[in-house]
Order: sequence, then structure tokens, then C-alpha cells
Amino acid sequence: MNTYLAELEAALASMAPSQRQEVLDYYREYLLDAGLSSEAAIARQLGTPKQLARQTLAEYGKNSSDVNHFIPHLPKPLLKAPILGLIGLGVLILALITIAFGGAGLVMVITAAFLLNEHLATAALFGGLGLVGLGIAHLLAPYLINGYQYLTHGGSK
Amino acid sequence: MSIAITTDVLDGCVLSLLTHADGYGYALTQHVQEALPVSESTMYPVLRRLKKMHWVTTYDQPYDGRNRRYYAITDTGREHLALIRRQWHHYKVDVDSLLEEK
Repeated sequence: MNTYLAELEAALASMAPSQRQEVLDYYREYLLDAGLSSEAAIARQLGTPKQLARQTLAEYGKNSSDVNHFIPHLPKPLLKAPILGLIGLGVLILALITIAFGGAGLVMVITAAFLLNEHLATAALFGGLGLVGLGIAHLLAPYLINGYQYLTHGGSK
Repeated sequence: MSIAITTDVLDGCVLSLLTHADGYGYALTQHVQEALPVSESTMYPVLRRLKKMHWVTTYDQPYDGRNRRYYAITDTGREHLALIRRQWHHYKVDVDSLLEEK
């Protein structure tokens, strides 16, 4: 049994040590419970160490790609500090643009309200432009909020 | 020929076994093999996935001078099992309706 497990361990060399140890612990327990000791008997049940290792590694590959579905927005390998920095910069720029459009829009709408009695055409122009500015800010806001939440919650995982 | 079993169905079968009692690798494999043609090496990836999804928890219990790792179903595991049971029912009805000789 120990020879089989040693060969399995060698064949699983590409695996992270903690994961490899879990696999080995599982099969050590399994073989003891099954009462299998000779290598030939084990191989009849589980296949050769190489076959079992290949199958195990293939399953790990499948599972690690499954996991990515549960992490929103970005696959796991991209969640690294420099990338987070870039995302942070993007969010900052987006925030400035949103505030610029929103602020300018608000000022224009207020100006239009004051001009309403004096010069209707100018008031209409300012009011229209102001609403467009507010509209753009409103469109950008959800992305900004998503980005901010991603940085504060999603990125810390 | 035997029809291949998908991982979802296998997950459901193991979770269902665990609603009766906690189980360990070898015994769970034996139970599933009584009904389905799965190989001895099928169970480890299943158990690992169930644990990773937090559908089961594990604990070690001494047995015969060594440890045995037991698997126990969690509340979210029970919820997931209910979902698999519903989906399997639909699947069964749909396949039956196509396979039945009219």
C-alpha cells in the first residue's frame, strides 16, 4: 500500500502540497477501509498510480474553472494588486467624469430656472444642456457604484 | 452499455445518502456502487466538490488506531439537494415523454 501511495504522490507532483496531502490521506484511508494491501489488488480497484493521478489532476482542472463562475466581474488570476490599482484608477476617473457632468448639469438647470423670466430661449438651451449632463451622470453612476463595490468587497477576496 | 451519470446527479445521490447518516469515503463509495456503475476513484472529486461548495462539512474520528474522515450534510447542502431533486424530477419527466413508445 505504501508503495502505491508513494507512486501516487510522485505522480501528483504538479499539485499544491496541501491538496496533494488531502488526496493521499483520502486514498490511504480508503485502502485501509477496503482492506487492500497488495499493489496488484489496489490497481485492479483504483487503476495504476499514474492513471489515478491523471484522473485526479483532470478533475482538479475542471473544478478550478468551475470556481471562477462564483467570482463576479473578473476571473481569479486577475485579482492581483497591480490590476486592482488599475481598476482603482479607472473608478477614480469615472468618478471625476460623473461628478463633472452631474455638477455642470445641475448648475445649468439652476441657471435656466433663474433665466426663465428674462430670456426664455437661453433658459431653454441651458435647461436642455443641463438635463443632458444630469442624464449622462445618471447613466455613469451605476458603473461607478459597481466599481466602488468591487474595490471594497469583491477585490478583498 | 450504461448511461453516464452527470456530476449533478452524483452530487445529489451522495447528499441524499448523507441525510440518513454521516459517512466516510469507502462506505459512501460502496453505497453508491450498489445502485450505480461508478468507479472507485469517482468519489473523491465528488466529496471534494461538495465540501468546497459548503454542502458538506468534515470531521475526523479515531478508528482502529487511525483517523476516519466523516462527511456530514449542511443546511445549504439540504437546500441544494431539494433543488437537485426538483430538477431531476423535471428531467425524468421530459426524457420519459421523449423515450416512451406511443
